[in-house]
Amino acid sequence: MNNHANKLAITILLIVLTVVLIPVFALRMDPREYEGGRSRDAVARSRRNASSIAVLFGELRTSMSDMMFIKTERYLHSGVAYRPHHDEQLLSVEEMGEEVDHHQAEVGHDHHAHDHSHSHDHHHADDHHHTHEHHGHAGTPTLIPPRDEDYRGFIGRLHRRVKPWRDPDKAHLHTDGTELLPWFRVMTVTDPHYVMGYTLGSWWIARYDRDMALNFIEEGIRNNPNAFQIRMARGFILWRIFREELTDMELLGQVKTDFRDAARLGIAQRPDPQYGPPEEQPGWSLFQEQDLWSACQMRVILEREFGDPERARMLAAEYLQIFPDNEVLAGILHAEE
Amino acid sequence: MNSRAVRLIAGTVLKESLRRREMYVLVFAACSLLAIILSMDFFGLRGLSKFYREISLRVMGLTTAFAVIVLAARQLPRELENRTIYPLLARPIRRAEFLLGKLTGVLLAGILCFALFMFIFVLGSLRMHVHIPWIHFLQHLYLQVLMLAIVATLGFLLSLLVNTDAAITICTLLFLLSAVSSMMLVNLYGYMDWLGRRVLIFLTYFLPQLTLFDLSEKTVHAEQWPPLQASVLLTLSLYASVYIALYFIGALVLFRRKEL
Repeated sequence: MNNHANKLAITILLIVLTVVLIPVFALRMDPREYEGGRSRDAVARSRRNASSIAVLFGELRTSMSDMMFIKTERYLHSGVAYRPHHDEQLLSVEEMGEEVDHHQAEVGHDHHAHDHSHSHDHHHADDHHHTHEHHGHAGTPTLIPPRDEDYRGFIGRLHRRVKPWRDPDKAHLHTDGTELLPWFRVMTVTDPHYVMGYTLGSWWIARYDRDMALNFIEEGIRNNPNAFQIRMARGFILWRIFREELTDMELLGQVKTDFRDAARLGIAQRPDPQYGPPEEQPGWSLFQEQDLWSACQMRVILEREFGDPERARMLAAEYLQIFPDNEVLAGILHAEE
Repeated sequence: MNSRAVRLIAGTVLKESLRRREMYVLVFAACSLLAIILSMDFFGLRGLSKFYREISLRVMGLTTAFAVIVLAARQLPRELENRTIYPLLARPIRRAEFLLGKLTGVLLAGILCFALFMFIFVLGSLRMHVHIPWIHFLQHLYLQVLMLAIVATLGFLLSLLVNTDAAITICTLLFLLSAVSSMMLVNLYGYMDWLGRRVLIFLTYFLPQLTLFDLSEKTVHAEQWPPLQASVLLTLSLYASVYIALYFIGALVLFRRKEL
């Protein structure tokens, strides 16, 4: 009895201690303290990740976000686990938007959120189960192999029956992307530096509620002030809104600011090409190079169409020094000449 | 077979598990986690059933499996340590009946744990206006009980071979890594030589493939997939029965050899 009472006392003490210590630890924790794995400068990463909390939870958070990103791909395929084939991480911010539109058009959800002051209380229980067969990716291997490639006999057969599985040669079963949205919320809460979560997530959210998407991007910019792709995502979303009526000049000003800031940040971060192609250097990828390319292009085009053509020409000349192969910029420069 | 003795022992295990309150703590902790996640605002969208189902089923499965593993692996060592086994075995109860009673009790505790979760899951679904795919859901629960029976009998066997902590650790690892290990075996096969492939085939049949008892993914995407056919459920039941019987017999042999 005495022993039992001692154990109870120790347990209560531990609970009280935990409750008291949680705020103390929480004060020392900053969810933005950690810079995760993908495509980030190794030196900067190691400097920021020096805190013990970052060491303890940092890699786990990055890995969790990566896993959640894979989960979104499975949700789009009715739960079927294919080998990664969407390559969103290789798509530029603009292409992500096109891919989202294309996917939703396939499953019969090709409406956009037009109303800027959209109701936030959507109810999607009845309309998000559209399914569509997509032949484009047929042939992509599944993680669970088909019968003729599986050595496991009846265990393999059961595996294919119990899990969502489809013959890899058949068209993919694409479903509506509404159900992905919670994963974008959770993956960016888990790792606030998951830039791709913000960029791709904002395209998906923008289909249902542009205000929400813009709030989400704001949060992404607050957490990642140097991530130029998030500013680009906002620029593109606002650009789409502006294109609908072409009247809101304040909005256009914001679009121009976003592309200007994105171009500036991107150029500052781009590795020096004298050491080889930037996309082949550490800390920079092909999709970052493509994004920077289109940020510069957009800035020049917007300046030419809605601003000062002379300034557009100067900008084109400036950016052509960075991207000498960009035919659009070259065209603008020569046309103005 | 003295079914009354089995019932009596099972009832004792169930009462003991309720008295120790570990299960309540686990269920409470899991429900709190669920409540925190589900109270998050997902951009004002309502009726997002897949995320709710996914998180609920994962938390439900993990918590119940962990409760059952701990309960099963502790049963025999605790009886031996506390010497409470002597008055029990002094009665006309065979060791097989004793072990079966223990297994039944542990499984009943697991089912009770599931029932608590199910109640909360259904309440949450009604509140969130989320459709419950009942057939998928019940098939998933049935398969999970089969999986728990495998894990519990393995827990009994291991607790007689190694110490309690090791038994809990091995069972937990087997459960947690089941999905990964199944995929790993399949994917490694193509890279192996003749001997390596024989080892993989041995491991595939030697280790119970617990991932086969996880219907959660089809339950999450129930709108796109029909429920399992009766023949698949029957095959899975037979598959589970083989491992349950083997582990149970193994545990019984060791238990009989144990000098009390």
